[in-house]
Amino acid sequence: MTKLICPECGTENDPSAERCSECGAPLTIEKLIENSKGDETGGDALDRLSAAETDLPGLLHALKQDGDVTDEPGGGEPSSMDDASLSVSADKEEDKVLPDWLNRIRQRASEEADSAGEIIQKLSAAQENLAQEGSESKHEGFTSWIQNIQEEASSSASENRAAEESVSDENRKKPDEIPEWLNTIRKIRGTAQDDLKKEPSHDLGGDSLLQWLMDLEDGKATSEEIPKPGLDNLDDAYEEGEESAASEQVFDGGVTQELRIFKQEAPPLIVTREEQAQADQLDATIVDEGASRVLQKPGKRTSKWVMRLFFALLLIGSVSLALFAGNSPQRQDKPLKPQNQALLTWASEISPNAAILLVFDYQAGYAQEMKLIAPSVLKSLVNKVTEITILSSSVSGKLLAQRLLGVLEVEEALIINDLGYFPAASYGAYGLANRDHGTWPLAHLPEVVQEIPADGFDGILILSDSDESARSWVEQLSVLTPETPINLLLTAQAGPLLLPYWESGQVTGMISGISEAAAIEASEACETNISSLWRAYQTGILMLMIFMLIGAFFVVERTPSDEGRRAS
Amino acid sequence: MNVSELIWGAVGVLLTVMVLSYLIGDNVLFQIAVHIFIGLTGGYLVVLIINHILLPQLMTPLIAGSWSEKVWFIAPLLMITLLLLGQIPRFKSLGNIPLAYLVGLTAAIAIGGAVFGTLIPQSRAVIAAFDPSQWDGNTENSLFSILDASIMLIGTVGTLSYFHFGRKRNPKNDQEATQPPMIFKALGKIGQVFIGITLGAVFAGLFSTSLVALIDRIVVIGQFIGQLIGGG
Repeated sequence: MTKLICPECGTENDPSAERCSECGAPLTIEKLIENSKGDETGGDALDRLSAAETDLPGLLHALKQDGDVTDEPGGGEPSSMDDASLSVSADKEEDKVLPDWLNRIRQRASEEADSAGEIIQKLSAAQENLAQEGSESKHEGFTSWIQNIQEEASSSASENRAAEESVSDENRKKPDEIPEWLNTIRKIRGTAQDDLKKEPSHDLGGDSLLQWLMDLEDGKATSEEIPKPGLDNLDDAYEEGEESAASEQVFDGGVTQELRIFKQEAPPLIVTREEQAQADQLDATIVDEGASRVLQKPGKRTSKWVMRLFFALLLIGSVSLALFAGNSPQRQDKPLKPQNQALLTWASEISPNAAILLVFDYQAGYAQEMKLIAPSVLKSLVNKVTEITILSSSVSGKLLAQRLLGVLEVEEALIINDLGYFPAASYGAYGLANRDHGTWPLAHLPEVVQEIPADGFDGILILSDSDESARSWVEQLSVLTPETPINLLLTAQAGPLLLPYWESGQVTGMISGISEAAAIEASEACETNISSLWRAYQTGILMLMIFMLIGAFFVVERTPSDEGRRAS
Repeated sequence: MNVSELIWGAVGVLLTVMVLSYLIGDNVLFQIAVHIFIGLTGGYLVVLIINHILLPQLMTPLIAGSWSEKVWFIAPLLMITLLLLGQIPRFKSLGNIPLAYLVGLTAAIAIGGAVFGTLIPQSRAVIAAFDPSQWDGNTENSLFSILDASIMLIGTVGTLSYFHFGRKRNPKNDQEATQPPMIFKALGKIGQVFIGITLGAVFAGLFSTSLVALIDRIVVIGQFIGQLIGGG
């Protein structure tokens, strides 16, 4: 149990007592320290120190709150404002570590003449004199210092840093001004002080607050280690130079404070071109969202489908009229195109023992057009050869082959080998072309696969409705089997894009569309249905051209600006 | 006309009318017809693949072939198995193996065909058009051949220039590229004309094919109605 011993009568008092219970003398820290000097028994001294440390957290907090409030207890008169500030700052450590109860003692001693001892009264009087003298010089220095700040605002930050550094140096250079009570603590700690000094204060982590105090006194630790509420960021910003700082010292009622005035500057805005474009797009989107729009009226949509139905019925009616009314049309002799003539020549010159491959590569929807195009060539083929091979690269190719060959009324003696279905045209062509050079004979493949002639085909006829699929066949076969004649029977939509392959010589001949088939029919005098359909076809083409012209002149698509103008 | 022809003829006419009903907009009849066609196509495709590919070209050799022949079918069988396992989320990565094989093979075949089957022969054809040995002795035909070859060359170069998007970096400003050379811009404009003509020809062909299909449907419906009225 810690006891306070009265320096006057030696009576043991309660630690919280401010006056001696026996003689009424004030229990000041000076007397206690003197008493502890006489009693070097470590146990009591350490107990007192422990008691003092229990009050230190509040003391440290007061230190942070008070900032740089100091007084000049016994130093010399400062020659200038800076010197005064430095000297005051150098001694402020003493007041920072003084407990509240001691401050209260001092305050009461200064107010009540009989409440303090003679020595304390003298000390207080001396301190007041010094403070008054210092305040006058500080006022003068403060005014000039403010003027310097206004004149040299740009260099104020560096000056402040230099001033702070000089303060730190001053603190280190004034070991003689260490409070007496701190020296007493050092003596009590004895040789352990040197050992503790070797260790960084921050490594202790608060285990020994006393050690921190000692480091603080030696300049190793700073008061900044205890964060000030609300001022942390300012200090960091000051260190990082993100803010321009000006410093001024204010003397207010014997209290010198160093205030840092931070002038917040907006960081420079760097916008890249891409960010600017995105920002513009966002602005445009926002503006567009707020823009007025014209709602499409239901009646307008109704008129559209009515018009569409009207023109469709007009087309169907005119075509039907051309089909079922009037006299049978006359054949019109048209000159054959070179590619058509080349195909007919190849078909007419084919050898009876030739191996012919028919590739069915069109969809069921184009069966009617192919039924009009192909018969003129296929008839001459099936009438000459005794055996043909068919292959389909469309899903319904097998059925379409049966239907087309059924139309031709082929002889029963004709042998038809079906190679089956090849899902991908390029794979089928590649495999078919390399079949000739295959070295992996498989015994249990379908019989028709084994019927592929070892020397390849004497001619290949591709019936296709797609330029891409037909091109795949031509690309592969023309490279892998360049000696094999390749001929094309195409729908009108596939013809234009495959014509270059005939001009380059990769394709022997080709027929494309019902118009070329009609010319062949006229020249060969074949009996097909083209002549009966030709007038309907011409009528339909004419009607479609009229409809497109009507659409071009009267159904002009309205732009958004037109819609906005109409709405306004 | 027997009952079978009558029924199937009626079904054909009904489906044709249902598809043509799209003229008044998307409706239930059109959707029913489309679903019927898609379903029939899918079902037919499954049967076709089983009967024409899986059974004759995979299962039969595996069952009836010798051991040396069966070995050859281990690879496709393994690929099929991996592709099926890829449908299970846990083994999804396994399905990438046959897909990678297919993609690589397709790319190899397609690139080989495009280069050796289209690019080189077509370039050679453009060059050969200027070969005087290809022209006959007739002056008029020779002039026509020269004109034809010149148009072909201009069209080829113009079309290729239109799809040239390369630009040099502006040395003064890294953010901006320089404009393409004037020669490419001029040839690109010419190429636009050729591209427009080509697309117009394709569109006309598509129009023609569609008109033939419409005429065929009208003929079928007319014949059906005629047979109904005529009773024969």
